[in-house]
Order: sequence, then structure tokens, then C-alpha cells
Amino acid sequence: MRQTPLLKVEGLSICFGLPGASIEVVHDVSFELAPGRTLALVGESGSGKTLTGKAVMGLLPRGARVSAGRVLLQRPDGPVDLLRQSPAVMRQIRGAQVSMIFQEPMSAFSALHTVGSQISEVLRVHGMCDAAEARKRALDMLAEVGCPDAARAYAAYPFELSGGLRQRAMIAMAMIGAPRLVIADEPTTALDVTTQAVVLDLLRRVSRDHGLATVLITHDLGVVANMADEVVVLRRGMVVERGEASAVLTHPGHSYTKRLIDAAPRVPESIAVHAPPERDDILTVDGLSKTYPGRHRSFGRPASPVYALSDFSMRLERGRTVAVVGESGSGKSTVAKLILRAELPDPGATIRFNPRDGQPMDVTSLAGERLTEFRRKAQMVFQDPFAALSPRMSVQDILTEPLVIHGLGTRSERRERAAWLMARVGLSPDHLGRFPHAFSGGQRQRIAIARALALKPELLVLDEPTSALDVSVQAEVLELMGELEGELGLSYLFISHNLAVVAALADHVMVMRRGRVVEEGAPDCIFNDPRHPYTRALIAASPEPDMHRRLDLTAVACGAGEPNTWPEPFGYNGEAAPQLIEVAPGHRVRRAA
Amino acid sequence: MEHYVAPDRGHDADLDRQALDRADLDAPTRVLVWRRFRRHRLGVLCLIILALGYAILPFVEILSPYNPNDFDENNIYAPPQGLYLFHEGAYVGLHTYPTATVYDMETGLVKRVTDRSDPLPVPVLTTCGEPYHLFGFIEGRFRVICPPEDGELFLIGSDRLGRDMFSRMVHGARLSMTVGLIGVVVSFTIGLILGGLAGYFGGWCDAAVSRAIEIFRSLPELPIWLALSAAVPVNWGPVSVFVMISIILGLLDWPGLARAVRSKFLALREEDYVRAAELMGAKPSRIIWRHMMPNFMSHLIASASLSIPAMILGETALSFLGLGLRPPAVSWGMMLNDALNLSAVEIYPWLLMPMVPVIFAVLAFSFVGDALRDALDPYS
Repeated sequence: MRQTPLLKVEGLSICFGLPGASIEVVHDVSFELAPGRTLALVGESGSGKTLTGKAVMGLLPRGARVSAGRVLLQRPDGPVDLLRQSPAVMRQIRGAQVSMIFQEPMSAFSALHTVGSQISEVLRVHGMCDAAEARKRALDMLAEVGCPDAARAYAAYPFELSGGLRQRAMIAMAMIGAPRLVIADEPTTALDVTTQAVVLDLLRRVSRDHGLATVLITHDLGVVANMADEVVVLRRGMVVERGEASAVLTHPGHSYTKRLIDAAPRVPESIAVHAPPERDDILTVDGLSKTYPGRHRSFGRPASPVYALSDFSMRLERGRTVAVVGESGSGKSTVAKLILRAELPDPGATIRFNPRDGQPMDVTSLAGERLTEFRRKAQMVFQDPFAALSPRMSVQDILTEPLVIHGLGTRSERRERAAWLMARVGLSPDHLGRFPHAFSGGQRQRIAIARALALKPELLVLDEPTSALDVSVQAEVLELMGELEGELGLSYLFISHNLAVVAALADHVMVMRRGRVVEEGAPDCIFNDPRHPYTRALIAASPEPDMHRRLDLTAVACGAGEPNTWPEPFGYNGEAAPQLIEVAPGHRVRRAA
Repeated sequence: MEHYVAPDRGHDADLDRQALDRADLDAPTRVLVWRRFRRHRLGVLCLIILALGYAILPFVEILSPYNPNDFDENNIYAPPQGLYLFHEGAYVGLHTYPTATVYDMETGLVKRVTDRSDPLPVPVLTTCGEPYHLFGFIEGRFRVICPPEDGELFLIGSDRLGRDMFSRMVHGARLSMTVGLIGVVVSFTIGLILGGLAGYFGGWCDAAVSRAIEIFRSLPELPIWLALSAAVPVNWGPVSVFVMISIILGLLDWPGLARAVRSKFLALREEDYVRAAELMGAKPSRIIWRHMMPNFMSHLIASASLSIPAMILGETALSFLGLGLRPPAVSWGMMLNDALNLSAVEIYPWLLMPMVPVIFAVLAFSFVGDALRDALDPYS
């Protein structure tokens, strides 16, 4: 017998703008959700997944309006249409029957109140119990979502908690009113991958224990595979495919779903072993460290210094790719800044850049002419394509600017070069007269790559070049980078937080944690034979669109914590880190001997 | 749930890659800003009003029926006169009625009595009165509206010397409206240079400028204004005094602007496109002029348009206290100087009329500034 659905969305359409001149952003979306099940709304940016979720909560942004459809929530006294309730009724429903988990817990909590008071507030506004009881229930709930010290978390302000703990508190707040439906809007997107694995597991456990129905809004098919019973794939506001998660993920019917699944980065099963290199290094880095002094205060002692990067060494062979992988705070972006001389390293470091023709350069001591020459040969691609292009310059100006700075070519030669660059990164030269804001993220990133190529550099530093992009676009951009590397003889330093993303491009992978490399080696060593608990945690935590490969939480738990929680012989306290030890040719792990 | 698959129309990767994501934003930023600004009805209206206002400033002589310093000892404190088209139900053209001064024996006050039986035709678009010098050298007597042949035309009354308030108000606009512009240019120049230095170079330069800003902002504004304007030599001509007053206003206004410039510079320095230009090897001057300036000029224009009203009010306040502009120059503040005498205001309330254009000008600049500020980020 089929269960009565708890939530039934029928023919939901949402428009922006006034009647008559409106743009429909969600078109005829229907799905239903039975109690206790998890349904994932999957789509890329602009697919309307978040708007659909907000419409259910009655939280549409200003200017958006439901133009058709019903959202029926089953209540004990029969179904009610959430779209046609008065604000007062909706307030009763929100928190008590339907609640929401937001992407950014920092902005979803008020910074002026303690986490605990905000959680127990849910109970008080619904008049469910008195203050003392509310406090007790909030503490219980915080303990249930895995806060190690519930009383401390209760009394803490949101900024005192780590990202993972904040998201746990967010879940506690969503759960405290004992709702029957939770809408989770990208609940783990802002988190590091190891934290994401833990929070996803928590969400799954909590919704199972409480018999909750969950609408999970996400762009990540890997998350879907780990969480969802049912999937609705959205594209440009329309349902592309809908069904049981196992059916959709293993036998996708629509070409768009297939593309999404194919584009998702995976940790490779096996990797061909690279031929041992004949050493022609374009970049040699030794003993690179960066300490930021504590902030100067007007009075009193300065704050203690921050060790962003400690004793980093690497070799980048010409025409190859070294990937530096780590979570936030690992020091990976500092590596990029130091190598490109955006900042100076602590004394004692050597960075040797060895161009194809010409003298080797010591990057740390370059000045004047030589620095300009280095700038010409080493370029950078930034993470956020929306911030990397000046909104006041046309694409033409953006692409010719590097040539103008270095005084290369005549006006018409520069224009030709710009057109060639556009074509090379897969965009039509007709776009040259346009401005960045007309383009999508992927297109902008292509333009940013074209700009970096304008000076015919030999070394490209890619700082998370795809992490702001949609999955299908990410796959295309990675493919483009692969082509360019071979064709133009480029060497890449690829910085990413995602191990799976670098798998296709990297010739050498370095895994970083808290300013130190913990493991490095060829991709086959790292992916097939990871030795360090942290590398293992990273691999285990990265979700993939495969129903049979669930997140391995024991591995995550073992390696994801601070260095002092790692098992022997890997763990260490403070700055007393052990050395990197070669465990196999080219494969080095930081562990005690 | 049964497995539903939408009709599959296939997918053209190349076409997808070229398609503009935001075709609605396919234009240069200034066009986008203008489009967004246009949506702000009140802002557009105020912009039109201000543009018209500034457009007529060179031609105020033609618009006013009298010259600003023409006085008429027979018509001291004449009340506002109406303009009419119909006399006793019949159309007789633009006309007004003569007023006579009557001495009230009981109260001892001078009263003005309007004679409703005798319409005086008001000539329009003709020559009359004392000659004026348009732009300082074109002599003319042509005016849009003239007083009737044997009568007076005080549209909003006359002051203690029998000068026409309306003509003086129109002439006063010239100084009162431009004092803000000159002041803003001065404060802009200082603010831009100091704020830019502080924001771009940081370090001790930033510290010095920031402290200077704080000190300037902590000074009590009014006494400093008063002291500085009192220091303007008495024997200076009206034009020099006017320029001096504008500069004084600008000198005291720059800290706010410098602070805005500094914080904008600090924010822009962290932008990836500025960092990209640095990593390309661009020199600081190129980074400032090509990358940072275009991106914050609009913010500056918005903050400038919000600080012009403060200048207009400042001039009004100074002249009201008798320390601003000096006769024979005319400004709104100077006209209000007559309103210092409370009993005069009580009997002749039209002395307060110059407040009306002050209020309108300040409001118009504020609305335009607000609309501009809203339009500055047109990319969403």
C-alpha cells in the first residue's frame, strides 16, 4: 500500500517580476515525499532548486511570486496548501512542522544571541514549554547532534563555534520543534569535505531516528548518492528526471542527468604509473615557510604569530602538473602567493624558476627588469571568476591588458592575439566587445584562463580554478586545461581542496594539513596506496554519485581531526612535526621514523 | 515514485558554451547603471529638476522681473501679489492688482490693501526695467515677465529695502547652487589624494591620514567655519569672498570623503582583478588609474552628490549669520539674514520664502544621491 505523501508539490511555477513582464524561473515542478523519506532536489546554479525549497517554506525573496501550483502538506486534519496560508498560520507551521537548514550557518544564526537561546527560542515562540524545559530540551538536542560539550555549545555565540559545530547547532535548531519535514538547502556546501562527511552522516541519522522527511537541496550528485531515497533533477526551472535515487543514478534516462553523473569528479580506481621522469624542473622550492606576525595593537603585546606554512619543498617538472590539496587553513593558497611573489616568504627559502630559455631566477630576490620578466613567464588563474575580471573593462581590454603592460605588439597584433586566445579557450571572438557580467561563471573562467595565457607563460598557478563552477562546467574547464598543457607546453601548479578534481590532471600530488605537507607522491601512490590517516580521510570523505560507494566514516573520523588526534606514528603536537619519510620511490609521508 | 524522464532534446555543447548567461546584462556598466537609475522615478525627477535648475543659472537675469538690488522705498515689505487670468469672470490676460499702503490708526501698523477693481496687465516676453549684463557683458532689458507699467510686481513680496524677493531668490540660486559644486571639487581633490595615498600605500601614511581625518572630524564645525570666514578680509570683492567661502566649506568637508576613498581603496586592493593586474606586472599608477578608479568613481560621485546638500546648507548657515557672502552678492542664506529678526518674520512671513528653494535643492540632491547609490551595483 502506498503511504499518503507528507508533502506534495503540484505544478509549481515561480516568476520574477510584475505580471505581464515576468520571467518564469521555475516551471511546472511536481514531486511528492512520503514520511521518513529523503528527496533530493538536484541541479546546477540557476536550476530553481533553492527557489522551490523556499516556496515550500513561504520564504520567497522579494520580487518572486508563485504563478501556479499547490504545495500540500499533510496535517492530522487533512492536507493544507502552504501557498495559500496567512502569515500567522505559516508562522505556526514553520519550526513546528516544517523547518529549514541553511547553507551558511554563520549568517543563519544571529551573532548577538547565544546558540542555545536561539535554539530554545523555537520552543518558546511555539509555546511548547516553559523556559527551564526549553533549556533542557535544547541541551539534549545539542548532545544528540554530537556537540562534544552541549553546555558549552549552548552558552556559546555562533562565531565561537567551528563551521562544523555551527552546522550541527543549525541542525539542532531545525530539529528542536520536532517537525515532520526538514528542508536542507545545501547544508554542507560551505564545509570542508571531511566535515561534510560527518555532517551528512549526522543528518541521515537524525532524520532516521525521528522519522523525518527531508528535502535535500544540493548540486552534488555525490551527496545525493549517499543521502537520498528519491531524486528530482532540475534544469533551468524544469524537472528533467525524477525517480528512485538508485534508478536515476544507475540508469539515468535523460542526457543531462548522464552528463551530470559523468562530470562528477571521482577518486580513480586505478591509475597508470607514470614513467620515471628525466629531471628538467621548471620550479624548485626548498624550505618555504611563511609566518604572519601577530596583529599590532596600539597598546599591549602583539598577538601571537600565525604559522601559515612550514618547511614546504617541491619540484615541478617542465610540462607536468603538481597538485597541492588541502582544506581551508592548510596553507595551500599561501604556497601560490609565495611562488608568484605576491608575498615574500620567511628568510631562508629558495624558489628557483628555470625558464625554457634564459637564466634561472631566484624568485625571492628578483627586482626590476628580472621581476617583470618573471611576471611574464608565470601567471595565475583565480578561484572566483566573478571577482577576477574588472567589471569596467571589455573582454578585449582584459585580454590585451597584459600585452599593453609589457609593451608587446602593435594595437592590431594585440587584437589578433585576443581573438586567437578567445578561440583557443573555446569562446567565439564575437564576444570580445562584451563585458564580463554578461557571461556565466564557466565562460568567465575561460576568459580568465585566456588572460593568463596572453603573455605565453610557462608556468600557470591555478588557485582552485573550478571550485566556484558548476559540476558539468568544471569537467569542461578541466578538460580545456589538459589540452592547453600539452599544446602550449605549460606547467601547472594546481591548488585545490578536492582530491578527486586533481586526479585527472596531476602528475604529483601533495596533501597538506595545517601548513604542512603530510603526504606526497604520484597519483597512483596517493589514490591507491594512501598511507597517512588524513589522506585516507580525504579520500573516504569525498562523495561520489555511486550508490554502492558510501562514505567511510571510520576512516574520516580517524584522520580528519587535528594533528594531535592522529594515531601513532603520525600524530604530533603544536609545531613538533616529524619529518617526511620516503616509504616508496617518490612517495613520502610525514610520520615518526 | 515512478521513474519520470523529461523529453530529451539532446544537447549542443558548443552552442551551450557560447550562449550568453545574462543577455540582460550585455552592456557596459554605465549603461547598466543608467538603466537601474531610471527605475528610481523620484531620483530621475529630481535629476531633471536639478539639471533644469543649473541650466537656467546663466540666464537668471532674463527670468526675474527686477534686478536683484533695485530697491523701491515706496514698497517696503510689500506682501506677495497674485497673478490672475480672469477678472470678474472674464478673461483679460495675465494681470495683477495694485496695492496701496494704508496706515492703520488703531494698531499703528502699515497695512497693504489690494484694490480688486483695477486689473493691471502684466507684460510678458518684453523689455523693461533697468538694463542688466548677461554673462557680464551682453547688455539687455529683455525679460520673461515684467512689472505692470504703473505698478509693481512682487510675486513673493519685497524685503526691508523694497527689493523684489522673487528676483533676489532667482539670482541667489546662482551662488547658492554653485557654492556646493566648488566646495565639492575642493573636498574631492583633497579627499581623493589623501584617501588614495592612505588606502593604497597603507603603513604610516595611512596612520597619518587616518589620524588627521579623526582630528578634523572632532573639531566643532560651526565655530571653525565662523572663524575662517571672519578671517576673509573685509575689502575683498564679492566674487573672491564667494570663492573663499566655497573653499572653506570644502576644506572642512574632505575628511568624510577621504575616509570613503580610503576604505574603498582598501576593499578594491583585495579584489582578485587588482591582484591579477599586479601579478601581470602592472605598475601602481596603472593599477590605480585603469583598475581601481573606474570601479570606484561611481561610488565617489554618489557620495559627492550626497555632500553637496551639506555645502548648500553650510553656505546658508554662514550667510544667515552674516559671515558668509557679502552684499552686493545675493544668496539664499543672505536673504534669510533678514529673517534674523523674529518680530519681522512674524509680521512679514514671506521673508522666510528663500527656505523653500533651499529645502528643494537639498532634497533633490539627496534623492539623486540615493538613487545613484542604489544603481551602483547593477550586476544582480
